[in-house]
Amino acid sequence: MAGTEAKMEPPDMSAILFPLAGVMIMVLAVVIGNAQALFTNTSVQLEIPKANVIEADLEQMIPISIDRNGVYYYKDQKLSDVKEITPKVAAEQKKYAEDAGDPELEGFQMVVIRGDKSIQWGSVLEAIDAVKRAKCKRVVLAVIKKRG
Amino acid sequence: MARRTSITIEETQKVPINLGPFSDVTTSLVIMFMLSIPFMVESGIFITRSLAAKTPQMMQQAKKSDIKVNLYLKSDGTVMLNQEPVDPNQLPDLIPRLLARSIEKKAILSADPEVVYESVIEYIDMLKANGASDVLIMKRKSATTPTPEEPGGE
Repeated sequence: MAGTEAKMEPPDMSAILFPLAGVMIMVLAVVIGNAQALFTNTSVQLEIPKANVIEADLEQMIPISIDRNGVYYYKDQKLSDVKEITPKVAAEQKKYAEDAGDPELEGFQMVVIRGDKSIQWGSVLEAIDAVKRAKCKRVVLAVIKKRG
Repeated sequence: MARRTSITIEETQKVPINLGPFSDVTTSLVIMFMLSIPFMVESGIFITRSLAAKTPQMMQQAKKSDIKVNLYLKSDGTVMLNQEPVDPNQLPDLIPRLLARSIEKKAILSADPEVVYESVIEYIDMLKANGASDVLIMKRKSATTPTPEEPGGE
């Protein structure tokens, strides 16, 4: 019995921690790679223009994206026409007010227009008009803070 | 020989793995990630757009009202400030002086549909950075600069 106890060795912690550290690095790499998608509620990848002035932190919002070909997206859903934005945003605003239990909040959920920096201003204006037709009161143009 | 090999393997297995450099790299990555978050995460600039407002009417209203800055970006690259062509490099000096005469410090911005979005954002950013409290986005029907007498604007 005493001989059995003498053979028991303490567990090698480094051998246990090594795979754990590997997993941690993998998780970190995935988080860094998907950081933008995590924060913007959409996976549509765009080159967002940069600006010095930042006014709004985008938290609970409705993203409208316009890619470099001028194609509109509502969240991740590709739209065939800009006019499809209005009913979708209006429904979302209604749901937002209902969830909050205050009908007066309808139209107050932030709508973010995410445009690729190479598109024409006319495409963005059409999106702004479509959103405004849904009686949105808080419209924001997405930008990324300039370095320096 | 076989006995010698088994002893070597046993000795090798007992060498602990040094996790120090590993944790250093991970910590550095986390710190770099945290520091770069503000430059990765999207933010926003508030804009105001009135559906009812049409440029010529707004121009007339602007004359009567408090709005002192009316910027128009043409598709050929010309920048008009209060209906007069202006050197874009002079705008950071002119805008604060004009806004100083305004109480609400609102500015009107319009651009031809062909203008690149990035350049419009640069001008909105410039207006806000120079003290504009609100940027009213206006829509122009044609590439020509409408005067208050011209019909239509949207």
